[in-house]
Amino acid sequence: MPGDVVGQEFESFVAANWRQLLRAAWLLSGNWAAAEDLAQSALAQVWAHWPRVRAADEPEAYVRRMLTHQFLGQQRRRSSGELPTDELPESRAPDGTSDVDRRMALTRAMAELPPQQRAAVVLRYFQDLSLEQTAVALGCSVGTAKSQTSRALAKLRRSAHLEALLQEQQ
Amino acid sequence: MPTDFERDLADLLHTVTPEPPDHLASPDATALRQAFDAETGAAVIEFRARPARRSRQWRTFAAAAVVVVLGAAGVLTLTEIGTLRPTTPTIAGPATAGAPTTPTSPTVPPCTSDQVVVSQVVARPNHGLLTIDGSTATTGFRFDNRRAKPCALTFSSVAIGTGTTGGTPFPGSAQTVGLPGHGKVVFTAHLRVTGRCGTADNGRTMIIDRGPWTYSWGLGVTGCTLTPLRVTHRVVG
Repeated sequence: MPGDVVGQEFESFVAANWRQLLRAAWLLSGNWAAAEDLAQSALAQVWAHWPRVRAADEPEAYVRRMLTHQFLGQQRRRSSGELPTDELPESRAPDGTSDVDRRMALTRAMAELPPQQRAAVVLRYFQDLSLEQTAVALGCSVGTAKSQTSRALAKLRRSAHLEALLQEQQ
Repeated sequence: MPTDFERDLADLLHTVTPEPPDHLASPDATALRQAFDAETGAAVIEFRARPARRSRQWRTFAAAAVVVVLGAAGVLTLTEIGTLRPTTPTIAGPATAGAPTTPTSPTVPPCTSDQVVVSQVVARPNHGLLTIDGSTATTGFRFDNRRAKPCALTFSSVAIGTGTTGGTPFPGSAQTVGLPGHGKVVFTAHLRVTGRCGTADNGRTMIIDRGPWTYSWGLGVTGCTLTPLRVTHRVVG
């Protein structure tokens, strides 16, 4: 297949999946700068294996796996414990109803989860994957994916940030 | 069968997770492919004794790094001594004066402070971070890009001084240098030495002014005159 056609095919794939990939990366990382980096790194891996990816039954599954692995790998390498944010602190007291406040509450709730549990939540409840698909993306057994999800849910049930958001939703 | 909590959580994640901002709405897949496919450029002989340690302190570390001599004549040995964070708050703002001498693509954004890691490097350690050879000396530093996205480093000046700001600038040091995604730029500062250098805890300082952010570290020498000659750099992609 001519190189430019392959490249165009990849670019079409990226265009179709970019928005959802970036939103998932935002949920994982908590800020757009890190989300962009995560998404680009994942797509670079997809490009590196494009002949295999494009031939797969579900190329999107490969992207999800790459994104998850990039995120978990970065978390393992991180040693400083920093959690950078590109959102400047609000100068007024939050009233709990604005979009920014809700997003910050969600970011904080997600940040309370260890990386693997956070990834499990994003895969199961944002990307709407089954347990089996979640396990593939996490690179673990179905049993491990199930226990990571259960632990994450237990933590989120106790999260004050999430409780406020859920009450507002009802 | 999902529980009510699971359904509520899914609903929350879908509604509260924001849409990407305008500047991220369209992916640059072409640049991504090209960045991945691009060659890494001229080989640079470099050996990192151990992974860089990130630190909030701007003063240089004590000589804790291991120097590795590769043995071949003329081979430059680079050793990471420590890493620096900028000394001023990361408030976005335009870089100060300095005409770019290495134009970059207009679409390459400036490097943010949390995107780059600055390290001091030394070749054949002599006096602290400064290598003296008769009446000339060199010292080095490098910027690493932590992200996949290329960015532009714009320097207002690279200077030799005695404090954390100002100093005597290297000629032509006000410039813009492109930093590839996950790449690095290694800078070598060349100086003329007059007089006899003694060792000091900090002594003369290297001062890098990068617009809103400055970095400085002690070179470990005092008592001699160091005259800036030029700063050269190599990009490693």
